[in-house]
Amino acid sequence: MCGICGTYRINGAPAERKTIEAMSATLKHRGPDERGLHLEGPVGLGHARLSVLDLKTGAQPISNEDKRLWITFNGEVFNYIELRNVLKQRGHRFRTESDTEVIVHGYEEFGTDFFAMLNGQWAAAIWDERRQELLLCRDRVGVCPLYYAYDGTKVVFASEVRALWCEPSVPRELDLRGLAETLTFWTTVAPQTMYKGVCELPPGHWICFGPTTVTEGTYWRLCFPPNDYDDAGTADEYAAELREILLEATRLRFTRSDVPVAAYLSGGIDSSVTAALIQNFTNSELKTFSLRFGDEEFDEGGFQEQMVRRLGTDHTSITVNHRDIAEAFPLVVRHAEKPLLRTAAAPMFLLSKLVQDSGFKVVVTGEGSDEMLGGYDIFREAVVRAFIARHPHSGRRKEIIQSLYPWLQRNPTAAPAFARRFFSQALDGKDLALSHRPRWQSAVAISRMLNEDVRHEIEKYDVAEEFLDRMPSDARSWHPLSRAQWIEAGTLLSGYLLSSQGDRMLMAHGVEGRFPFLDPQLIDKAAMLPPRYKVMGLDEKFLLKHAFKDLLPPEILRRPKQPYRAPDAASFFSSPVDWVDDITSEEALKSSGLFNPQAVAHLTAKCRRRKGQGMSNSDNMAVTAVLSTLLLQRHMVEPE
Amino acid sequence: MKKLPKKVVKRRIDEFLAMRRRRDTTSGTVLETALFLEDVFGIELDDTELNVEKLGEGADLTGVVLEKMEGP
Repeated sequence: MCGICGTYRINGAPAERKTIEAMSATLKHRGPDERGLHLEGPVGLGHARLSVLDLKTGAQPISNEDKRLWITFNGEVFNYIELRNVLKQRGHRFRTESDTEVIVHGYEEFGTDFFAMLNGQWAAAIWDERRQELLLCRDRVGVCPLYYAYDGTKVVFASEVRALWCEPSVPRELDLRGLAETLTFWTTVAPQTMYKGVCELPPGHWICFGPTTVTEGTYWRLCFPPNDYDDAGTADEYAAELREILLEATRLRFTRSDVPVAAYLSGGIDSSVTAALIQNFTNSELKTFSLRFGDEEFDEGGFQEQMVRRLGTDHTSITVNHRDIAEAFPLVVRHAEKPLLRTAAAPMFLLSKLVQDSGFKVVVTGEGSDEMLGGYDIFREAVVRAFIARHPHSGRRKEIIQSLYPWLQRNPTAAPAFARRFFSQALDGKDLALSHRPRWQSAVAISRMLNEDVRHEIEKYDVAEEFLDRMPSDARSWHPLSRAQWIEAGTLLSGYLLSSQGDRMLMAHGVEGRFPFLDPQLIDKAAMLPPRYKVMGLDEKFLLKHAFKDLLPPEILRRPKQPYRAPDAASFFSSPVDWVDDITSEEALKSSGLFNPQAVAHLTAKCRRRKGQGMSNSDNMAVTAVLSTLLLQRHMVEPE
Repeated sequence: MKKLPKKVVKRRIDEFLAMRRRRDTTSGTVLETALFLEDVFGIELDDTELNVEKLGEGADLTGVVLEKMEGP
C-alpha cells in the first residue's frame, strides 16, 4: 500500500507543486520507496510508493493511453490479472504490469460500475481532464483510508489527515461531534472525523467533484437476508463452500505480490486458518510473526507455539511490556489520528516495526473473520438479549448470562455491575441496536471526564439514532445477529480495527496488511449464511471451526474466544511515565480546555495508587481516552 | 413460525448437539438449548418448560419442536 494526496482548484487556479510535495512528504512512512507527482492545470496528484507489485514500471501517478485520465492509487487489486485480460479484449493497451493501470482503464471502460468488479483493498483519486472532474473512491469495507476537505472552491485529499494541513486553508481544529461519536461508538464513523472541515470518504463510496457539481454514489453495502429466509443447506455444505472461497481468497493475497509475503499468527483460530491455508501455495518456509505480552493475563504465546510447531513456520515474536506500550503510545496516537479507548493499537505498532526490521513489506492476517463469521461476544450477546427480550420478566432466562460469561460466577464483585449494564437498557427485541446499546452507554460514561461546556456541547448530538437511521430500510426484518454485524462492520471494523489498529499501525512502518476474510465473495457469502452457523447456541464462529477442524489442533479449536486486548491503565501507571505526568498536570488540563481537571486528577490518582492494576473496564477506557485525546490535541491540532 | 419437515428439524438439532459434544461442556445446557430452539425454529417456550426433563441431555428435542409447530 502507499500514500496518496492531491488538490483540485475548481476555480481554475493552478495546482501548487510545493503543496503536493509537502503532502507527499508527510506520507513518506506509508510509501518509503518512491515519490511521484502529476501537475496539470488546476489539479495536482501526489504519490508515496510502497513497491509491492510491478517493482520496475509501477510508478505513479499513471494515465490511460491518451492521457485523459490520471490516477493516484493506494492499495491492491488482487484480481488485476483477470480484469486486465477483460480490458485487453476490449481494446485497451497496457504499458505496465501493475494493478493501478487496470483501474484507470477499467474506469474509462465501465465508469463507476467498475469499482464493484474489483477484488481488493484500495483508495484512489482519478482525474478526468476532459470533464475536469476529480473522483475519489474507496474499497468496500475501508481497509485503505481516504480523507478530503472541500470548501466549494477546492478539494484537498490524502490518505492521512495530517497531509491535508499542508494546504493552509484546511482548518486545524477538533470537531466535538467527532468526540461525541468516539464516546459512543469507540470511533468516529465516516464521513465524520475528529477534525472540523475534514471528511472521511465512507467505505464502498465514491465522490466526484466537477466544475459545478458534486456527485456521490455507493457501489456496495453490506446487506443481510430477512430472518425467515429459506435456507436449505447443511453445515457440511456451507462449510465446503466457505473452505473453497477462503482458500481462493488466501491464494490471491499470498501469491499476488512481487515481494515476499509473511503472516501474522496470533494463536487464535483466524490467523491459524489463514497461515495453514498459505501452506498450500508455497514450498518455502512461511515467515510468521506474533505478539507476546510480558503481562501473562494477555499473553497467547502457548497457542502461538503450538501452531508454529504444527505448521513448521519460521517464526519471530516480540514481547511487549507495560513500559513499551507507554513509550510508544504518543507515536501511536499521532499515527492513528483519533482518540483511542484502548491501548491495543500500541503492540500492533511495535509488531509492524518488527516486520519492517525483518525485511518484510506484506503480511496476511486474520482480521474480518470475527465480524463476518460471528466471533465477537457482542454477537453472542445479540442472541442472548433477544432470548431474554422474548420474556423480559423471566428470572430463569436471565440466568443464561452465567453460561454466556462463566467468569461472572467466579467474580461476585463484577457480576452485579455487569448485570446492571446488560439489563440497564430496555430489552426491546425490535430495537435495531439491541446488542450494542449497553456498549454505547458504557462509552458515554467517559464523558464524565469532560469539562461542563464540552459535555453540554456533545450531548446535543444524538449520534446513535442518526447512525441507526442509516441502516437499510429492511434491517428490521433481519435476525438480531445480522443487525449486530451490520453495526459492528459500520463502526468498529472500518473506524477502529482496520484503521487505528490496522492500516495506521501497519503503515506507520511501511507494512501492508492483507485480509482473506474480507474478500468480497467471502463477505457476501457470509452475509447470506443462516445466523445459526455463525453463533450456534452460544458457540461463536461455528461454521469456521466446522470447516477447518482438520487444520487446527483441538486445543485451538476448542479454546473460548479471547478478544485481543492489551494492558491499559497498567501500562501508564505501573511506573512513572514522564509524558503522562506532563499531559495530566493541572496546568496542562486547564490549557487544553477539554477535560475537568478535578475529575481527571481523581481518576489518575486512583490509577497511580493501584499502579493501574485491577481497574474497572470503565476506568481503563476512560484513562486511555483522556490521555489519547490530550495527545491528539497537543500533537495534531496545536501548531508544531 | 414456519413449519418445517421433521428431517430438517432433526438435522438442525443434530448439528447443534454435535457442536456441543465437540465443545465438551454440559453447564447451562438447558438454557442454551432453549435459546437455540426458539432462535432457529421460531417456537416459544415458557419458564416451566426450561428444565432438564424437556430440554436436557437425551431429551426428545425434535419432538418438542414438532409439537410446538403443530400448535395446541
